[in-house]
Amino acid sequence: MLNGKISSVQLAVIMFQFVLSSTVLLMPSITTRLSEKDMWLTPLLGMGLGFLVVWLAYKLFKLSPEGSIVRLMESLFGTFLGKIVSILFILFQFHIVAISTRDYAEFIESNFFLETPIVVIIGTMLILCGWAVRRGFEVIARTGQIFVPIITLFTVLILILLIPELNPLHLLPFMERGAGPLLQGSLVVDGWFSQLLLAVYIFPLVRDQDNIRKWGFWCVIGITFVMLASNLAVFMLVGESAGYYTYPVLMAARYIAYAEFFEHLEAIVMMVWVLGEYIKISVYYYVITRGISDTFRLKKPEVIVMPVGLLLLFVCFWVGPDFQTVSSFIANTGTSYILIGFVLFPLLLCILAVIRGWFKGLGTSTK
Amino acid sequence: MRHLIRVIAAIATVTLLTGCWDRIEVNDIAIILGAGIDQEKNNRVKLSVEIFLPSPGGNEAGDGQEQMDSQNKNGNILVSSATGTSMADAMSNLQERLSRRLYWGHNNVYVFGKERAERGFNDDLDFFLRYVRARERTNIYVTQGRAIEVMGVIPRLDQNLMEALTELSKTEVSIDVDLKKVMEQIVETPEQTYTVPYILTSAVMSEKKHLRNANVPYFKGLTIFKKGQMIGSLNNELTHGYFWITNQIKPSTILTATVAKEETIAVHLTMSKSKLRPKIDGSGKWTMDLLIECEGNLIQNASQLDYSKPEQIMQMEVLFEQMIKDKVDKSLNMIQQKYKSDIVGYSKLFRRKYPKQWAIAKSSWSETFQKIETNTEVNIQIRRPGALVKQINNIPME
Repeated sequence: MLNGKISSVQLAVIMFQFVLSSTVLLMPSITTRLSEKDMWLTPLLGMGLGFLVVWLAYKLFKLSPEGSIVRLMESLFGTFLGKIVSILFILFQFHIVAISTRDYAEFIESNFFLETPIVVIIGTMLILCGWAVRRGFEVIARTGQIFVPIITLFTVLILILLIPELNPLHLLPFMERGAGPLLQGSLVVDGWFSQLLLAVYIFPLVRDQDNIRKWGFWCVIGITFVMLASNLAVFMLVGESAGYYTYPVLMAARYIAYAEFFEHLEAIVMMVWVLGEYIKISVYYYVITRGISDTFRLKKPEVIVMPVGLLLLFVCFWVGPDFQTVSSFIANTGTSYILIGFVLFPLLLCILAVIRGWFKGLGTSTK
Repeated sequence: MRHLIRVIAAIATVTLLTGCWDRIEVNDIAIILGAGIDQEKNNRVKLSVEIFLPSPGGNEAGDGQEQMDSQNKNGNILVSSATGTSMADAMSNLQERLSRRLYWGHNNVYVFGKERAERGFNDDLDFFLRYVRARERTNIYVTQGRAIEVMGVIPRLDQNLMEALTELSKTEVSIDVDLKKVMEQIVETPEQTYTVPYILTSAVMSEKKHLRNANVPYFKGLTIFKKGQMIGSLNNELTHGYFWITNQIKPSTILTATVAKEETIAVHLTMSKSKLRPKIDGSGKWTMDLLIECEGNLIQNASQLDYSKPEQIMQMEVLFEQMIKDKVDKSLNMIQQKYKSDIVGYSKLFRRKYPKQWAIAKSSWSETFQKIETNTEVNIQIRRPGALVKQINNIPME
């Protein structure tokens, strides 16, 4: 049930939204705090890592036996140790998705559904995602195909409606305190880009594998463009005070007012966020389920979907006691944490695999 | 079994997807149109709100002591107030008196009493931005007396006070300052300097025998804030000068210049542009070049100057240029020497062009700002004479 084929375009669309869903709301505030007036440049710097991660994921996929990264770990570290490494990697993904889900729920909770218990918000979302995962990745890909244009359209609409309020002079002076703060901010953006690595679990499902790299790079460019646009819009609107708002994009949507009746557009932001988070959580959920079933060679992977969801529900509460703990984790230690997991660790795997292949090659050629 | 699951799923969808958990019925909420904040004794704060009552005559019951019913024909406005140690406290006390839930989503105006403004209203802004999440477009005003007196005003020209104030903000005598702008200034200026429109209450106006217009709010200029506190105000004339500096003069402003004794000419502006250029010269002297360019049409000529003669047009233009220059200098003098607060945004301009020098001067910006010299250059062009070519004054009498 966890199979079903998709095209590389579908994959690109899904990964595009997968990275963007939580970014647009959270990133402007965090990057302003770190990079001040140069925050708009951070996605452009982060883009480099995006390309690296897409390349890395593709390379790992090509190196993996049967196209499964779990098999690659098993063949590198031995069956038993490989399974442990794989489980550790899955636990890491579990942690990240729990933070992400919690973030989503906190946003809904603190801005719209003030009295609804948070468990209902997380629970309903997980039931929906669980259902999609059970039906296979094709379902997620197709819902993505429907949702992503809507999400992108509304995001762009909000940004366009903001144009009359924007003041480009907010962006000056350029590089006031040198390149240091800029690099710091772009590292946070890297944290989001690095999650693209998860595509390695989905590559085996792609029908036209020759186009993966091409669409992967377009996907990174698309992500950068939307990040850049939202960062620019927010900063030109409120200047450095962007760092003081929890969700500057929500604030920006609330600021839109035309002709005294076309106003209160914040509900659009909520809709965009819910649809986007659905894709993000579904992808993670799918990847985790697939990882587990690959590790233990399950014959019927769909039986573990709901248990994984239940576990995820609990982990969402374990990741932090309150909003600020979760949010400061994302802005501080979270960056290096996620980069180690999604960039350094796979890079290590890749290097090991290449070296081993090299030695093997030596062995065969001498024979 | 399968059917049972489907039925349960269907019921769950119906109940959960409606979002009814947080539903609030329209007739359960009290829509706030405007809020007034006053300083009370013992550092307490008084919150007064103007509530829109959807049904006419449906007055809320409460303890009448603090409530004033508008007693107006379209009496669908209720003003209610309560005090507390902080804004949040005052709001919860106010809520206790109302049978409906206070709803802030449509609030468009905050009016602060002068006393509260002088004490500083950063605490209140924190509440508005954090809890109420009023739209950042909500306008802020300071009133000369107490805010609750303004709240009671039912203007005759507009439906309610909120509308009257926002409409007034669009006229050429004033500007609108909203939460977003104040927040921006607080974050970006070295000493938290900003301005907020200053309005008069009807009571003050009626003392001046303006009784016929008693129920209309008036603008009285701008209040100046520094380090979170109101430190003074500019009257209408000085405000005008301030607008010239900051490029906030709106077209349709009418300028009058005195030619000679009892002789004036008036111009209706069609375009105006002010440009500030910061400069730090070799000796480390900070100066600002202000270039004002505007165009206008003649609307009254009660002087001996003849518009049909080019050299006399020049003469008129020079008069206006001098007049604008004087206004600007007077305002600048007041802002720089008396209030020592950078409400004209010089700090931002210097920061953009000279970030390094600015970073050093930032900590003692008041002193630096005081010493900045402004060279004003005004260029006005009177484009059209209006419907009369010659002036009536000049018709020769036999």
